[in-house]
Amino acid sequence: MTDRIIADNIELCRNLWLTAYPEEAPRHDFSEGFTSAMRPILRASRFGGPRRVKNVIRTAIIAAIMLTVAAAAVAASSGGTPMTLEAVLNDGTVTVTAEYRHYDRDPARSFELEHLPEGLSLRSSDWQGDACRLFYGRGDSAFFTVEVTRLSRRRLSLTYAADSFSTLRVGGAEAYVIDDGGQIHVIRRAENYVIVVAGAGLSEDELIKTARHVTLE
Amino acid sequence: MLVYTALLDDSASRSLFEETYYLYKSLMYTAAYSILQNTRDAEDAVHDAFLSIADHMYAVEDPQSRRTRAFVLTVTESRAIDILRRRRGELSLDDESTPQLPARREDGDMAYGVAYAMASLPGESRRLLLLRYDMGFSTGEIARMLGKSRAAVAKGLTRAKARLREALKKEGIQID
Repeated sequence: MTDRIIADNIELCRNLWLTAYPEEAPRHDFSEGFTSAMRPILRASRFGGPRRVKNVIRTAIIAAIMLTVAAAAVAASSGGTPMTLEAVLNDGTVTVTAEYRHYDRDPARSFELEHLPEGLSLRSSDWQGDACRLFYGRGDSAFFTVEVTRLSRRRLSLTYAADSFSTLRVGGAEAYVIDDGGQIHVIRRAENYVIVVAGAGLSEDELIKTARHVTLE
Repeated sequence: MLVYTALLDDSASRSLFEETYYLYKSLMYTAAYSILQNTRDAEDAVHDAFLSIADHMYAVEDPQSRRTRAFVLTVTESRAIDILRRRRGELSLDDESTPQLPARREDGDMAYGVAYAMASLPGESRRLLLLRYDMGFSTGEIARMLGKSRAAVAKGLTRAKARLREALKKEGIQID
């Protein structure tokens, strides 16, 4: 009898109890220690989980046949100083490295999505230092993220398992499309910013179109 | 790292986990800090909670739902209490804290009276009832989630029901 009564009224109980917490919690800037501890699980959740990690480990052990695709571009607004963006394929993984050796004195710029796949809406956004991450979702589990990272005297390295890898040109510069366990990642740059659009449940063309239409303001 | 990644093994769970993380991390911190009154300990509690949540993401259908909100807060509170126990060097610390609920309506609505009595239960009893009856976790799943033995969870659920019966009796509601 008790079980039945509890089960019948638990939803109302839960909603009453939730009123003890604020609907909008004040934003807390988590410490670097917390962020570092969470990074592995978030990266795993974002970039394909165990297989990626296994492949990275295997890469370190097995001698590799390397194919390097490199691109260098000019960031005209920064006095002609180049940012490099290159991808290295290695035994089923691809590592994309971006480097900008100069100091960017300006504050990080905002950006705009000029194309949004149909039916998706912004679910969350997060700023961490020079990086901004937006998460868009839809009820059928289709989702994509946009991460824009400003480089200033900094090198950024991202490794994925690569079921497929291809290049294309965005804004006159080389960009990369990687299928990592069913999640498509489109990686491009704009001036000294790295832009990564990643998602699942959406076509590759849709994600590429989204990545092409991220513009710095 | 392999330990972490093994917790999430399909792309649907991965996307849900990320969404859950960004939606609730600040709220979870608020909940943990209210118990621990210490930034570092509160962040530890949030981290521990996310590890437990990652292991049980299969139960999350909609990150934005009230049920998910209650789930992450329930796990966070529990992990914060664990840290408080360790900090005080106590093996067992009965969490007798009660939430700040709105004033109770006095309109004779029995369902509301039962719900209000459950929501007013002390911390651990309320959390166990929510995990068992709202989220539908088994005793074993709750035990693994909260780092307790199955026997401790079963005993805690029995005690929660006894407390609820007692509370309802005081309200003049006889349920068995």
